[in-house]
Amino acid sequence: MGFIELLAPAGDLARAKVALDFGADAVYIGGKRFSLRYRASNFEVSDIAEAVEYAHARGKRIFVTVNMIPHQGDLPGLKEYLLELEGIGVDAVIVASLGIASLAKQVAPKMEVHLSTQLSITNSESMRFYKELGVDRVVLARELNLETIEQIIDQAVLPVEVFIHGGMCVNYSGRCTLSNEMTLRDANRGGCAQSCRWAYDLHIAGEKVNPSDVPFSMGSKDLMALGSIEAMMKMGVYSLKIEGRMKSAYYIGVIVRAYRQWIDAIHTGKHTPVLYNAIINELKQAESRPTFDGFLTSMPDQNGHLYHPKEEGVVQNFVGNVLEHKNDRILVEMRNLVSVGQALECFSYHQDPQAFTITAMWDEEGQVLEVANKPMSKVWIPCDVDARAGDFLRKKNT
Amino acid sequence: MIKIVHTERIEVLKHFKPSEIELVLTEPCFSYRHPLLQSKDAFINLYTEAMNLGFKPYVQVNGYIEEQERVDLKAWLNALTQLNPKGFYFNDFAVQRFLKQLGYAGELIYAPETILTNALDIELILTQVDRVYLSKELTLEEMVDLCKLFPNKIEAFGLGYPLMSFSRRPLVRSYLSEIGHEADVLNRLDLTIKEAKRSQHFPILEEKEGTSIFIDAIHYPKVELPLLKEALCYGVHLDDLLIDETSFMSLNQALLDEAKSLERIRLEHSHIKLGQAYYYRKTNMSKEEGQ
Repeated sequence: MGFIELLAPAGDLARAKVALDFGADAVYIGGKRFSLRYRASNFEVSDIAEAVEYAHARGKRIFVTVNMIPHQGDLPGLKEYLLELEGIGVDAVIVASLGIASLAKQVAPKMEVHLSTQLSITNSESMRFYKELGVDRVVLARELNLETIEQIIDQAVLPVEVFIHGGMCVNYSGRCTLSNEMTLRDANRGGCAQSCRWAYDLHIAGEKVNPSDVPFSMGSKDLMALGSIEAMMKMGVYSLKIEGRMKSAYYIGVIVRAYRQWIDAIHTGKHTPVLYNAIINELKQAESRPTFDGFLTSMPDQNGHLYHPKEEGVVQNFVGNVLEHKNDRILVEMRNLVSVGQALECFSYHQDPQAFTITAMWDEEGQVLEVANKPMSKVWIPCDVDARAGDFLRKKNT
Repeated sequence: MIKIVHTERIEVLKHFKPSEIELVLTEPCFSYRHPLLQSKDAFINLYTEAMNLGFKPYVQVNGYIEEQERVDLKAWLNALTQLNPKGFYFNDFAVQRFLKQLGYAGELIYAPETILTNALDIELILTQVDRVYLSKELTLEEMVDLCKLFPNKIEAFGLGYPLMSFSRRPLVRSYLSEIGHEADVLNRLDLTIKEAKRSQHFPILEEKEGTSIFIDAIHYPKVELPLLKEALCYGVHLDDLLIDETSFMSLNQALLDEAKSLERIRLEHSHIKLGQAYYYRKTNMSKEEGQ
């Protein structure tokens, strides 16, 4: 098995660095314009330039999403933007519009053009069409099983990218206007309100059939494809993509590190069931919704959906970010409530998780705390492990 | 401006004269939204009946072609070209490529439901096909502007329930399994969903290929059609899916009848909700601005 790219999302520069530090080979980010996920904090061009510099210094790559499906009024400034991205050394743009793909190849030929999953590419024949337009890579539709992906790769004329983790559109991506109708927010221009996840009544011949406590919903469980990574590597998938430009730095760190660990273990033949289970447990540390393996092994049935709102529980074990380590104490920017006596783990890219227990806490004024319960407050905690600025603290999974 | 009719019902077709309309028949093997037509034979029969009525149909292949279907698709397209259709509507460029390989010389129209919203894309795609079918989520102003830029190369939605989404998943059957309900819902035309905080009942159609959801109001551009015509829109599509025969025909007849106002048509069809899709609704709202 040759190289396989691990491609991670990032909503801002800090998260891009986390993704790269924790083991991504490439990171995809969005600018302030022409990109979906406008609610993600997104990058100014100067931030993109810094991300490119940071990535290239580590032999890694930065892709920029230019993946909105623009209406005519959205187009002014596009050419200049593409030139700007090329000028700062962006490696590729991810696009959903064939017109933008073609324009990018004309005006900014040093950048690769990757076609987004919004084009719902499900076969190698259409890929040939896209190659003739100058496209360099395609992201496959999420509606494909492993067998079909393998058959596509056998005939593929372009490198193939496949989603392996994160949120799933219940409809073919890019072909859904539920949000447009319900909220006047265009999913294809970054406004998706996730109307598929709302509660509906189902009527058959005018009769409501759903019980009131289990409304009809199209909300999908999240994708988690760890069990299919080895097969994807063997069949020649070029890039494994993690979804989630709106996710936190901690989430990105956990997910990227887990997949990095598993890919490396497969490469070195150390991918044991024990390690697999450990990584599954690790992935659960950052789970925001229950997961399943999408279409990869079978057509999703009721087990691929979230009908009960209570199922959408966010794991609350993230404690905060380490800001500095001085005199056997760490300064932590808090996110979730924590008390003296709590067992913690320091989670980082430079070592395996290190456990320690909170024996005391002080606020920045030196006041003793029994409980730290103010998000974004800064708290000093005694720490005897190698915790560094940028590391994450979380409650130890017992 | 041409009326382009989609139907699976020969009885509907019999109301039209071949000189009045173009006809699109959706084939059932690699497409969706064909609840009344479930086999090649049924399609060939419909096609033949349409021919006998004097029509020269277009064929629509609107599905997402999966790799393992390529061989069968090509063989089926080959069989379809033997019927000498006037043209093909397609969503997946695999269809276009196969038709070219088969030496098909009729018309090709790209019709991807969504994602065709600007001149940059249209200009590029028109180098590969004869015409394009615009996305429905455009305002009237945007549609008129695009039609003017590409005279007689653009088609638009004209009458019918606008599609909102298409999922590969069996959404209704999965849900009914979850709640232990045993209704047979495949291809049924009487299912709706209603969002908890809204009054609309959105039609939902489940087929073996997946699940389609539609806007609750029949798109009816009675007032706006002259603007599209003036902008040299090539044609508008009239789709009878989910509409009873009588209503579809009377709505069609009233569409260009200058003697009938929209208000009068609404009164005459008070059992039906008529709408204008996104003609007057911009959908580029932020979370704060949107509904």
